[in-house]
Amino acid sequence: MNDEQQWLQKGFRRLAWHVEDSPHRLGYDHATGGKLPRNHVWRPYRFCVQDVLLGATVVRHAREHNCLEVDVFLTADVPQYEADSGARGLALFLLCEAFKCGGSMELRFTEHVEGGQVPTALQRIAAAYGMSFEHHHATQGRIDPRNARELFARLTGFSDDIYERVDLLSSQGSLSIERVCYAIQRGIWKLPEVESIVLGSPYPDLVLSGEIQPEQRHLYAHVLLHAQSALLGGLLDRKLALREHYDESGAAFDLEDDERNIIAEYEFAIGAKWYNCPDEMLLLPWSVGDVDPVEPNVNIVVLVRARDAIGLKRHLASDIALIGERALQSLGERYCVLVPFDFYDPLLSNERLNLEKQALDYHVHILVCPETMASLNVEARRRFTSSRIIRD
Amino acid sequence: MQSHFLLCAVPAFMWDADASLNETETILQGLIQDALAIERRIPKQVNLENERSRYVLCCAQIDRLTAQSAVSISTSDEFYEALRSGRFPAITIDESYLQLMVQADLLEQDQQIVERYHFGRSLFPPDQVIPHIEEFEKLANHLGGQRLDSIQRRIAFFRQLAGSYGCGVIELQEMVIGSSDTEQTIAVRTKPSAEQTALLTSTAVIDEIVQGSRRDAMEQRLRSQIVQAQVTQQVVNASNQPHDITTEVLHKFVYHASGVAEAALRLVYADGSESIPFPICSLTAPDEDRIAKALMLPPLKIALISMRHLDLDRYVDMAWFRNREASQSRTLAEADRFCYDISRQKFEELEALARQQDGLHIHLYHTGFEPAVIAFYRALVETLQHGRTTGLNILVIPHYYRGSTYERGHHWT
Repeated sequence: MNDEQQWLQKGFRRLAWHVEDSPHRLGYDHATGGKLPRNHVWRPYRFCVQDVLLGATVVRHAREHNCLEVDVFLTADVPQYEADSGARGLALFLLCEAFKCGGSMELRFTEHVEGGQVPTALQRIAAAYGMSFEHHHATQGRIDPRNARELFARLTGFSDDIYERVDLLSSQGSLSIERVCYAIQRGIWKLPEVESIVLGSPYPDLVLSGEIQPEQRHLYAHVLLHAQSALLGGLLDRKLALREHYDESGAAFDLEDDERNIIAEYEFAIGAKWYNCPDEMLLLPWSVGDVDPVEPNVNIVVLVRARDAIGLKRHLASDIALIGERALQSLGERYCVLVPFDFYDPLLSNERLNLEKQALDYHVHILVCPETMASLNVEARRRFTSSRIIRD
Repeated sequence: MQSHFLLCAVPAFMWDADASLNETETILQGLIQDALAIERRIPKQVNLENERSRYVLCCAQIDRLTAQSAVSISTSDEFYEALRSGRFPAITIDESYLQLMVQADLLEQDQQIVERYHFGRSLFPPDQVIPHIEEFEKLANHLGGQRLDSIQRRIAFFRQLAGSYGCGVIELQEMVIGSSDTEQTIAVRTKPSAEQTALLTSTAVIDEIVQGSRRDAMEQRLRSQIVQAQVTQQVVNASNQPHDITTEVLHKFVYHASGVAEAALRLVYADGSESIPFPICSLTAPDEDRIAKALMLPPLKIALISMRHLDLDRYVDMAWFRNREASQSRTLAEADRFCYDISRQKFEELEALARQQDGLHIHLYHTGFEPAVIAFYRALVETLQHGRTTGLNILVIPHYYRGSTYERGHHWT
């Protein structure tokens, strides 16, 4: 029996002890309910996808060291899943838990985890991102807060640009990396939305913290504008990525995880998103008028403009002109302006035809999202509230 | 993308609920009245979410209607002409105004002043235009933004145009492509220290608090009692005055000049129970460098006791004591002892964090209950005494409840 198998067996025994025999075993059960354990009590968790077990762990918040302590770290490599999927899932869980418990983000592994070392699978994942834990920390079973934050950011999928910006804000003390990562992992914000907030707003910390209240009218209007812009862009991301299927009666339905491979980037200078689908043709959604499908590997540049009717009336023409200048020199890219449903507000009834004509002249497509600014406003407020009570 | 602001002068009659107007004007007038009423109600914290939702809707409608009637002007003649033709004369200023608001960190400011002078708001009734702009000018001078073109234009618009013609002002924000958009700019949040950015310095805040004759008398009485007790070893009643006065007076006695011996102050509570003595003249004067270093750290915001000021929950990182545990039925001295033990234990736990980040900066939000307050500061003084020999750098800034806001006390470090 090799080392790995031995640690696996020991880990299973330790897990079984925590679940069945330990003095602190839980009174909680998913089926029957009960009292949920406190953070500082050892708590076993399993990580499953439907009925496939990818990993199991036992953790607690160690109050004496202000860190997350891990007593069991078991992962399985299931053939149908990407290598180290279980370890990635568990690592994300540990990092989220470390943030949720309010500790320093340090992870400590007890002697029951590979003899008190940082698990090999975790070291392998870190190495894949070009990270390495300091030798004496790794052998002592510790991931220090700095490494933990970087690993959290990498596992969350931050690009170098985002990481640098968040790191800078973090060094100024206005935004913490782990808070942003947790907000994404908890589903409050999606990664592309965070990307456009972090890269597009001068004060991303104010937007992501959700602490500005409406009575601080100017700050609130500012964070709301950026949040609405991120949400509008996020809706297009999802619309482009999702493959729609139709049943025999012609009704549309979605298949889980059936998404296109879309490469998206954010151009902060003009608040535009670049999309590219290398594998298949794309249909431009929500376009005004007929539009030809976009060939594979052709860039789509979308100016995201979350403006209400009065804002569209004042600025849409200049937005079209801005992107239109590029469109006239296009080397095959497609240029669009994405606006909310307020485009059809009666206030714009006199201007709408002219705007559509201007867009046509510039070879720019106007995409009208079915959501209005009012609904984006409601969604933004919901996200602000969730951000404020992030650890609940 | 940048935020630009459209400053629209709105004639006085639009702010008058009794003025008779045409249909569109009546709608805007009603919305303005609603929004101002909500602004007045929000500090009362009743049905807050509902009020805020209505405020957002109201302001969105006001923005829309105001923008429709706005007309850009550049001279006072154009201003007058616009008013005469029933339009709202307006100028545009750039993002430096927002930067100033962010720099002022309005959330951290004295909320009474923020509300009185409508800082960060978008509606300025005619009678508020001049008082607001005068305070705003002081704030801009304080933050070094007075020379910015946008700030000067805003001040001139408020004072020389809107103020002179008796108009109110409505400010709208919109996103535009700015001239500096070719490069990504990172807005650096300059937070030199709490004192430098505060509208009032902490000393001024405390002076203002105790200026009232009753408070002044209480402070004087407690001071003389403590001085007397140092000679006679008598007890001092900690329940005779509000906890903020006790805290500030104790602060004055905790630090000693060289050559003064440490002493123990005997304290009793309203129920007659006597607590563990409070150490006075026990700390050397704090080192300014250490204070500056600690102030640079992000503050750990702590409510003294949970479940007492629920509106604090979204601002604080933790509560020091659990209400359920601290407020159990026992003598006040026993409560003090319990809170003291908990505090010692917590400070020990926080030492690791303080060492890890080379200091600890705590904002303590007082929630009442004298034994808890005394116990906390006793444990803090002992921790600081220990820290003087081990190099531990802890800074605590008390925050006292003042109706809808909290005001800062002196640093304990």
